[in-house]
Amino acid sequence: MRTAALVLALAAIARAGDPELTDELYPQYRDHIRPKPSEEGWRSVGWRTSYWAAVQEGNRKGLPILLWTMNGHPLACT
Amino acid sequence: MRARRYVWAEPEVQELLKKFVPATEEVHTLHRDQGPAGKHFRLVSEKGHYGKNPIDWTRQGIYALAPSGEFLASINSTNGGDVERMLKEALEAWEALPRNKRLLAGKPEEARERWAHLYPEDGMVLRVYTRDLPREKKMKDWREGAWNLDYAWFRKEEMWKFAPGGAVKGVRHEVPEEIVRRLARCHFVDNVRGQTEAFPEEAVEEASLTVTVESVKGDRVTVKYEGTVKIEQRGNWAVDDTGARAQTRGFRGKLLGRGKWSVQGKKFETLEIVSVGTRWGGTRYNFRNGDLEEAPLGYVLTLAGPGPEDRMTPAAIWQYGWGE
Repeated sequence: MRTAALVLALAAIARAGDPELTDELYPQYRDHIRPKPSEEGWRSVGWRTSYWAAVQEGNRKGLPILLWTMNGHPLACT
Repeated sequence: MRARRYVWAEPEVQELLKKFVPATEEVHTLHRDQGPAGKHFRLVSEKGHYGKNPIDWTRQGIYALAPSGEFLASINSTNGGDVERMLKEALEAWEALPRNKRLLAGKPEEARERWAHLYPEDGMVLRVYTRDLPREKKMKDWREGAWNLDYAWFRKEEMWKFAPGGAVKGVRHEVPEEIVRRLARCHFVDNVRGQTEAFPEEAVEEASLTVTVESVKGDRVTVKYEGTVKIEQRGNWAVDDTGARAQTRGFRGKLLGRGKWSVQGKKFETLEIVSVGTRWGGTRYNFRNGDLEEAPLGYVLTLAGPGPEDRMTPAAIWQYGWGE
């Protein structure tokens, strides 16, 4: 859980120059950087990772396809 | 990445998506593909929101289509309400579409996925999360909470270099420099707000990672990772629409982490490495224009899962030297 105190502590470290990385600070940085569950709601959609495989699935099931396509794969670096 | 945050997590949107086969794909590859997927996509995209643009411009966005290739609706938006309306329009168009126009006429052609055959089935795959660290300068929009995700692939023989050198506390070795250099230039990039390019080989000034056995408990060997990276590229390139000019970009930081190796299983049960440091500069599409000065940046590398959504190709796979 990110707290205001943590944010301030990290900011203070950042102001002083390159961020320090120690065993004590490690979990705070990790928890700050990793997305929170609320930021990963998009994962629950059940995205197919291939357009053509989705077209074939839609063809079998008689369903339309919803394609989300970006510069960079939407489920990775976009 | 804004769509991840502002569109697909919306309950109303997720409910509507149940009436579709939801698919994702990288647009550049799909738009230029000469196989059945590319041909099919162009049937749809040329009727969509960017269809009137020159053929070499991006077609990124959200498209609804029938398996036959009939266009239903499209939009390029990071607004959940706009996408919800588009999905409803698409379903109306689907219902109005005669049944004999919904499906492919014959058996679908087989298509080869460009990079899938390079996925390291018996190696190691890491998620690489990137996010700005707290600082005094605050953004008042989406950039403040921006984060991104990429994947780093390691073949079996490369994974072994991250493994303990022996099941004895204190045993230490270095991950070979070429592996750490590749990790640095392909993955310690500033993609927090959007896509960027890998650093060139000559930009890597320092890249080291030490593996030390910290403890041994039965079959499990815990190793500690400690390392340093320093990367800097100088040259002329654009960071906005005003054209190329002299630029520098880079990252210098420390690495720290741990992994739990199963001796009998010959694989990692857990592995996590954090890197924090200082970034500077920008590139054409990573939205750093106006924010080019030094600022703190962090990465988390952690084992990916077995699901299809974790089989995404690294953004800079062609820089790996693994061929196609």
